[in-house]
Amino acid sequence: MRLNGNRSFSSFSFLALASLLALFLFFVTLLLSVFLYVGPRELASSLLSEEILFSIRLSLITATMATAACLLVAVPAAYALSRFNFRGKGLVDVLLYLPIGMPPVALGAALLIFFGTPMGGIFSARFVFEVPGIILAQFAVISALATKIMKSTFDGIDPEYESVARTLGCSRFQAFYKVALPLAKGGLITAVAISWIRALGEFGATVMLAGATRMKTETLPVAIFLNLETADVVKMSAAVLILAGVGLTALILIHKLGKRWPAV
Amino acid sequence: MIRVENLSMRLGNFALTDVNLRVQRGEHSIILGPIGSGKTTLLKCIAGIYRPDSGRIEMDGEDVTELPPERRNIGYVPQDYRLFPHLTVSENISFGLRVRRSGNLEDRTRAMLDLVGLSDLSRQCIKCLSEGQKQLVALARALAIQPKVLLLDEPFTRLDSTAKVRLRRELRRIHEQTGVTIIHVTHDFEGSLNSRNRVAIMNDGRLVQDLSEIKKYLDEKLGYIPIDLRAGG
Ligand SMILES: Nc1ncnc2c1ncn2[C@@H]1O[C@H](COP(=O)(O)OP(=O)(O)OP(=O)(O)O)[C@@H](O)[C@H]1O
Ligand SMILES: [Mg+2]
Repeated sequence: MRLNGNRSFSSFSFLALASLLALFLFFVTLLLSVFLYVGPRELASSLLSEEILFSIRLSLITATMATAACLLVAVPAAYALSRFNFRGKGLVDVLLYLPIGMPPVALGAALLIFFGTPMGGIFSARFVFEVPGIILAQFAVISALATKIMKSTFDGIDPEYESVARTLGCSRFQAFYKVALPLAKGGLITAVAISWIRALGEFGATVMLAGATRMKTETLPVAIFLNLETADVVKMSAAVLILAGVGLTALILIHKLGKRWPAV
Repeated sequence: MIRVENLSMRLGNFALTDVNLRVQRGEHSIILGPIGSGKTTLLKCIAGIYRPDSGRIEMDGEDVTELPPERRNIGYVPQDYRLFPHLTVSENISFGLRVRRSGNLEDRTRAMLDLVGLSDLSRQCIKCLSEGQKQLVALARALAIQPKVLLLDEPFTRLDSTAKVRLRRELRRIHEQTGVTIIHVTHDFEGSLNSRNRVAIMNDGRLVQDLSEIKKYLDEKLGYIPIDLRAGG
């Protein structure tokens, strides 16, 4: 469909498109310069090194698990925040901005301190400087963000749809699952993509809680950090490119799968 | 039979106050009332979407005031239909049947499509329907579960005048064919009064009971000026 307004190419349209192009070129230039610095041969050998393969695998697993755990909590929490009225709701809503705005390092520090308390101490051996710590750190960074995205998605869906579903025989849960969730599909895909890519790139909280141990808690961002520390700048740059490549591939996959996701 | 007794409910600044209503089985009753008088609120109370502050609702002698909507067996057609946009026409119609896991799903869906005359559109997506077709799909979806009562919220007001005439005829036919009890609310005074339905008036959250009051109300709304017979020189 071609809207009439599109035909008159105003200076504003030009400005808007030029901004988009500039932004796109900005990031492409960044990636390209890293690529030229590393060179294809070095990139290939890095990609096949045991350390990087380990990092890729660890990153994929932790980001996926953190995203799954995050959605399991964020989707119902966002639904409750959108649909139910309770005392202190406004406060909860505002407080959820905090983990989004806090530096991940601060979140990681808080987690580390929590595991030093008598209550947290019970679990500390499982999380501190361990792989589950990575997942928990990523979860801490992405869960509030995913909740916010899902809340505004549910806010945009008239609850009357669920009311009708109820009169047709749905329980509250069925109305959520068969109507609200399929209608929230677009927001859900966005939430998955943003959470996952954010978890993949998570560094600050991960380092605080799980540490940066080579071949143990070495996710791709940690690999970048470790290679920088040993002044292996080429290898570090290769890790940057690989991180970008893995992220891009996954995002394309998420959107492809999301499109094919059938209506419930 | 539907019985509403002393139903009251506050919604912000608005209050549904002491509503009493009786609708016999198979009747098509119309509740007329101006915009914002509480018609939708009353329907939502009957459907179980809203929980009234006080009063009771009875269906066929059973007190349903505390029952959730999914256990009332009421067909609800909201003001703007709320057809599920992620489903096709026939999936919308069979929605309630699938939830209830009722048998002969396909037969019943086809029967409903026939009833509203939309068999050709069964695979159509909701976005591509005309306003009148949407109304018919919403009717079929609500009727598919064989409800005890059908609640219609302004079923014709979004239609243009030709569609209105056609839909009114369709509704009469569907009512005759299914014998379902209908409670139908609208603010469209002219459009609803030429039928032989039972009529009640809602004004500012109250059902007007007194006959002379109803008459006065209708006169005002329709703009008739009563002739003063005693007037003279
Ligand atoms: N959730 C709500 N919170 C507060 N006030 C509400 C709410 N829903 C409805 N109201 C108010 O209650 C009054 C009655 O609303 P209702 O929707 O029942 O009117 P109606 O008779 O159906 O009107 P219309 O003919 O425009 O559909 C209105 O004044 C409306 O503003
Ligand atoms: Mg209304």
